[in-house]
Amino acid sequence: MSDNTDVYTRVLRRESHDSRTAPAVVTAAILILLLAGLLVLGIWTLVDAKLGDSIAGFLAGENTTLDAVTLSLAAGIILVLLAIVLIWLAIVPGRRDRRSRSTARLAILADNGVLADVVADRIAERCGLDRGNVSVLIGRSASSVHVTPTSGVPLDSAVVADIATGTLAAVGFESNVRVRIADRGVVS
Amino acid sequence: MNATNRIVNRALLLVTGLALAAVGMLLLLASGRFPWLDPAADAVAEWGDSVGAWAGSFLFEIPGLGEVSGGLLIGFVAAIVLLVLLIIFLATRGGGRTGTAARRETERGNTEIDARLADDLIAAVLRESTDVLSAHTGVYRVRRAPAIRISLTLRRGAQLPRVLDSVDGALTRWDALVGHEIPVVLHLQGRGWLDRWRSATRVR
Repeated sequence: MSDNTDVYTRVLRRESHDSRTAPAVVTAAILILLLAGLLVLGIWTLVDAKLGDSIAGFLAGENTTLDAVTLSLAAGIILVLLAIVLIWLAIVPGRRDRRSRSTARLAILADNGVLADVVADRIAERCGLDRGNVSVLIGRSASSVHVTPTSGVPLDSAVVADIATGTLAAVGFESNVRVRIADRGVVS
Repeated sequence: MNATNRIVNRALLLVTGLALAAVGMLLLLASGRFPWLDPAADAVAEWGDSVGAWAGSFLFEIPGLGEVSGGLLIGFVAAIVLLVLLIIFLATRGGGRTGTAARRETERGNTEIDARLADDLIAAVLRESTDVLSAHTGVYRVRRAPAIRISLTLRRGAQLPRVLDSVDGALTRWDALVGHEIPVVLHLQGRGWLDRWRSATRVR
């Protein structure tokens, strides 16, 4: 049905990117604690002038054994590093390891790991290999298959690539498959 | 599929990051370990002094407290406003889940289909399959209309085309019941670390 396509576009776009809710909520919570603390301290200093003096003394570094230069240098470096992490999180697209497509009736969202599992299962089945000797990595546009053959049994990489692309095509996803077959087989 | 406004998430991270960077740079300047930056440090100190002088230049009379400098008052108000905004931010994360999968209004009355029925009619059918470890559904509001999300975790060695066929079958029956097509998103989830210990086959 055509009127669902924009819902699908929106959902699939959102679901294939990280929401950044977790870091944002943590940041907001820390900011709330800091601000509340500052407010309480500020009101306290208004009421009790002695506290204000002791805070000023503490900020001037009267009681600390560390010298102010190292302290501000270390704090500055830590804050700048934190800032870089936060700005990085804010700007980078944050794509998730997922693929998506929509059919006439529904939108399909598949974790790349699930597709890799399915492809590895089919290769192991069809080539008569132990499942542990096939490893598949599915990336955003390309994927790679690494197979360790049974020793003494020849294995054609074109056949393996065909099985992989065929399996992916059967569920409607396409990928450039690169096959690597280990030089030495194992007895499984 | 929740309704979180993601731009706001990123904006908060960006603004906090920039503020932290500014404070961190100031601290680095103040440490005096970078002699070639001293002109910049002097300029910042001068600017800070002028801001401080301006903030202290006007006083407010508050009953019971005496005179309070204007800068301090502005700081208080800004902190309170920021605090309220942050609490609103925290309260508006998530959401968008709804308990109604479909609703039809006629002159003779309204019919609502509960979200639990979607779970019973779609997910319960999928759970019967030997290819599926777990299946559950959730209903979310997307563009002011309900949309169903099916989360599927497959068993090891599952036949994915067969699973997709059974999803199609379940949806056909669901559509026949509801009468119109509700958007459905199928999510094929990876297995979690606990699922490692589950068996590859299901015996019935």
